[in-house]
Amino acid sequence: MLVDGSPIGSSGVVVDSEGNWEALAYLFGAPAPVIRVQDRSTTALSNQITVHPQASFSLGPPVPANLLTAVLPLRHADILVIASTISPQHVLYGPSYTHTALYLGGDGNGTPLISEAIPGSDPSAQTYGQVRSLPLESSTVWTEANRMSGWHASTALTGSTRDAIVAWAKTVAPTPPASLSGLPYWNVSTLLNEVDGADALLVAFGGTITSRFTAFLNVLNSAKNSTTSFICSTLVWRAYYEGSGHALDISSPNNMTAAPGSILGSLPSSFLGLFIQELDPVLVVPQTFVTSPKLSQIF
Amino acid sequence: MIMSHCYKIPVLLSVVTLFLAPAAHAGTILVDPSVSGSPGAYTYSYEIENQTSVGLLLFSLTVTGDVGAINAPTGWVMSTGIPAPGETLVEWISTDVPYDVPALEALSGFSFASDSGPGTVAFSTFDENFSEFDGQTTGPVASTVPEPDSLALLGTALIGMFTIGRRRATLNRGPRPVHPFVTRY
Repeated sequence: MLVDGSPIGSSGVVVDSEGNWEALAYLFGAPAPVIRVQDRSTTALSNQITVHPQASFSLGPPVPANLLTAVLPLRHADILVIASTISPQHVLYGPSYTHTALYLGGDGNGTPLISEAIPGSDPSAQTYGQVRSLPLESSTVWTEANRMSGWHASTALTGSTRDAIVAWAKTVAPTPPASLSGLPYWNVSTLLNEVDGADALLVAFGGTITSRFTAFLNVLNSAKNSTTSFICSTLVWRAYYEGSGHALDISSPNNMTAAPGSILGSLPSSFLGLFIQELDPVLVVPQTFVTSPKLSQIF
Repeated sequence: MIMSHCYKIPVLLSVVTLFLAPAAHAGTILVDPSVSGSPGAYTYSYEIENQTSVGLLLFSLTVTGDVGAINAPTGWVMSTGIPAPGETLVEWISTDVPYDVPALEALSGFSFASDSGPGTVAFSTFDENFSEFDGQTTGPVASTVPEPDSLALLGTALIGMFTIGRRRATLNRGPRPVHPFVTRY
């Protein structure tokens, strides 16, 4: 991939087993960069495309430092996972990553889109809605992250599965203006009440699983499986689950942990392992993805 | 830890009822607050009137003020969390059905100490079907300190991203001619 005659990165773009390829070119500095693609084997050059990037207020997450080239191999249905200091996920379990989104590929003009779910309290919810698809550069993935990583399925997805994952996400997370009256993010206060309540009950009974504790977990499980409201990770998880015909469940195994100072991390150590074990099937979080053997890190 | 069966009435040298807000309404759940104590040492107490036909198993407050020792009715446990910077979730959970706030009855004994003065705070309740009722009541709020004005300077940069790719129907055909086009999925 050449931008104004210079290659982006050194690895180039790989053609998959179905003969398809796609690339996400991060363009910086030039007002109207010219893009061409060169075949490594034949050195043949493509026709050229002149791109007119929109002015943006944000350069994107500062990490990875090689962001200019890191995003190049992203393909539609890949997963973005970011760290943001303002995510409500922090208080729950103190994760290293706090938000996730589904990369949808480009729109008809080549503008990269993502689907994400964000709390209604986030300022951008007023502009784009809570469960929405929008340009990557307008998303919280781009504007609120201080760190970003990209992930794809460890076992390569077929093109049709990628298409189905993206199609499902677009259905539940439309673009504005439809997203403004679309589906909501979970009620954060409700979520905290449920997790905190289960936490308190487990401790109160010395680690014994009571019927009331189970009732709290059942409510969390209903929320996880809801298709009428989402958090960031349930949107991505469900898109993979539905797009793969229920064959790919990236919520399992769930290797999430809890950091000290968070709600879960404040549990006595003797109960923490048990509580996490009980939560694993009913709560999917960004950390679930970055620790999943079913996903591999792109950057 | 399950709370003691005995609800202790705070004994203060100078007990002053500072604020007694009208009962807060959330559907047919009423929360009756009372605030006692003196500046810097308040006790916030609540009675829940359940005017619905389903018992209540959870009561919580989201407050911005300080939260000290918490007391709970018999059979209830309490917990705290931080829903957002500067906010504290104070939560009481019934451990089993016999301790719930019964349908069409009231339960008191929800209380906690705070250094912070009273104001309006949010409350939530869950019934036994986990249906949520939210409302407002009286609770400790942080005193606000005005911040100096700041001027946000916005810089602009001309950046952008562009996706490009191609799709082929055939498999593994070796070196490929290059005719990129904008992806249309």
